[in-house]
Amino acid sequence: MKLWKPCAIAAALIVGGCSFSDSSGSLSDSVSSPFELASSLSSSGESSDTAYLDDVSDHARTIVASGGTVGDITAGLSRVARAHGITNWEAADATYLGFGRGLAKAGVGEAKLAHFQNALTDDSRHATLIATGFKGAIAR
Amino acid sequence: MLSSFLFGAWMLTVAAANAAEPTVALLHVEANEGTSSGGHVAIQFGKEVYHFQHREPGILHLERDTWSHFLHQYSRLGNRAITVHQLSFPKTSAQRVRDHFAALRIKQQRSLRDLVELEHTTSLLSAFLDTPGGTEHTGVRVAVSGFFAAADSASSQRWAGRGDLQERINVALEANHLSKASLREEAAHLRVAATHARSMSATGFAAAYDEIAAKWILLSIVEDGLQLSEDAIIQEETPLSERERQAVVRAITDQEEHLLALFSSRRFDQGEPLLIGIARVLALYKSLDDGRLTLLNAIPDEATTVEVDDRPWVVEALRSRAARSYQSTRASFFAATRAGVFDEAALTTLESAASRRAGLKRAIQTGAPLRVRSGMLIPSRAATWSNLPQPENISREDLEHVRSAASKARTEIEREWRYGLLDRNCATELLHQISAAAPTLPLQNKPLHFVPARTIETLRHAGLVTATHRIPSISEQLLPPDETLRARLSQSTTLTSAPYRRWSNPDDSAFLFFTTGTPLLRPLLGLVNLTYGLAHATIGVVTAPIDNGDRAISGLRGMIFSAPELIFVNIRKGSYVYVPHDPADWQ
Repeated sequence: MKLWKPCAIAAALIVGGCSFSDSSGSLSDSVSSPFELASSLSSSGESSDTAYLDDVSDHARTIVASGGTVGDITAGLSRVARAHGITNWEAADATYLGFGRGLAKAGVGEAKLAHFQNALTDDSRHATLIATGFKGAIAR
Repeated sequence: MLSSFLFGAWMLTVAAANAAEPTVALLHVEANEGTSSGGHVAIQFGKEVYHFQHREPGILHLERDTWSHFLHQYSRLGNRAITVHQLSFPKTSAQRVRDHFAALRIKQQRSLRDLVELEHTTSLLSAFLDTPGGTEHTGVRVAVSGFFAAADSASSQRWAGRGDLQERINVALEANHLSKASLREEAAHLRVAATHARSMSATGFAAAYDEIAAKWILLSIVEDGLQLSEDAIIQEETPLSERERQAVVRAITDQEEHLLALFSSRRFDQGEPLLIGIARVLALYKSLDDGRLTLLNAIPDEATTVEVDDRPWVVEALRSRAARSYQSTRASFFAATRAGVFDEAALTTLESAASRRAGLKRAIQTGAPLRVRSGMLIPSRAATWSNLPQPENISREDLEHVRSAASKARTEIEREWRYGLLDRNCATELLHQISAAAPTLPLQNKPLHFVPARTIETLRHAGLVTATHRIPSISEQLLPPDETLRARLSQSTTLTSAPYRRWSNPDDSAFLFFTTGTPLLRPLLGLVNLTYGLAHATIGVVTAPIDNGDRAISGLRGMIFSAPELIFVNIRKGSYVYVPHDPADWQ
């Protein structure tokens, strides 16, 4: 009696384990029903400024932590932004706040912050937003 | 400057509240036929859910969903119960584990996009090298360029304000030394060798050429007088109110300001956003001229198509939802724009909602297949352009080099993310990555940990599980509260269950009885299901010339998934092709 359940589960696994996703759609497209696509705002749910900020922060943190440059960060920013409905990411304040926060989370010191600010933008307002994001993350 | 501080502080406060130490849970999704018939596991951090899916060509793909989306996919459409095991990590570990999964997903996406970039480069080089002679090349598809029409002097005078825009763009082009001559020279000197060593996903040959092509088309459409293609837009039937007109004027002003600033950006990929920005401004100008809101049709060329004829109630539900969504996003867009906040994401959301609504309306009216695509729909309509400048410093050796690089990249992805049914599946990889993120956790894999239903035992043994609760599948939730015998019987078969008849997934195998809630009767009902599957398969042999064997396969699959029921095990639960998002609409 103790054996039947594992055997049955193993049989089920043999039939096919784990969720299978059709890769014919976009990379982010994990919707199982085609009808659902017709009404789905986003496969990852609704977007918002804070969700975008979080994604920029994760992106910057990951690239910097793996030794990437500002060029590598900006190169990927377009794709991060597109997922949130943004093509002109330079015009979105959340980009700079997220960038600053990502730098802090990657362990970039305050001494190097200016280097990253200068590499990303000429605009003093945007540089201020990067610093705000950076300091906000440090304070946490 | 003060406003930057205040806005930044506000946004960071909101973000910090969202990102406060996340609640963590392991989610076990029960088995069902179709995908993940062995069950599925995921890890939840607050509103985010990370999980590994099996994708072609046999790789594990790390997905991120919102909790609400995950719940809808698995509990409602997939009709599977979800067991939520709350986990208690040491304080810093929870955030570290979450950040590890976020970084892992970004790393995987970069690898996959590098491969896409290499394949795109291969495709471009093949096209160029197969077109001998001359510097001009035919037949390259360029994203977004499908929104523009050829020169039409009569209509080009019709849109007020467009001439001013053209003049301002010309000034920006001159200030940034952007001309066809400079682009031709840039293309001519484009080399694979100069770019392949850098990040392929960002600054590789294909990305560089796409940028040249987008800017070339930008110059062409400016020369042609900025003409928007009439069949690439959606226009409302109701006229704009005066307040809405004022909001559109405000949106044009803001959008133009951002657009012109983009010309002097440091970005390497300005071309596409410039094209989108110009097309959007033209659509907004048309809104003013015609007095009706005009938006770009954002359904992409490569959208999936779905036949809607046999599912009128599903299509009606979708139409109703799309209409509500459109009205809501439209109201938000106008409210925000009137308040002086032009938000590109809000415009994209509005375009997405308008495009989905228009597509459904068309499908209902004409019976044409419905074109669908998930996510935010950024306008991307492509067109094929000839006379684009062609790289001159490319060779067949370059092509072979890139083909080889693509092959290596593919092999590397298949090796690094290999899927194995028993040794590297959604369950084992989840445990492995938790362990990698927090090596100090005392995780020791328990027997059968590769089975999703048993994965939790490893975490339980480490003392991480604090509470467990179960979220019923939609079928269980749809059982009437009074649970009369008649009500239960009507929900117990595929022929009498009203929700199943309305929304059932045509890919489900042939079966008669749901056996989820009847453990004692399961072998008996399983025998009936087995017989039902056999009958279907037998009839399917006869109908195979008509239905391509669909009925026979459905019957055979029905028999396979009935077999476990004979020994009291339920896998198949039935699934749905559509379920309303609002539970109030379920009955």
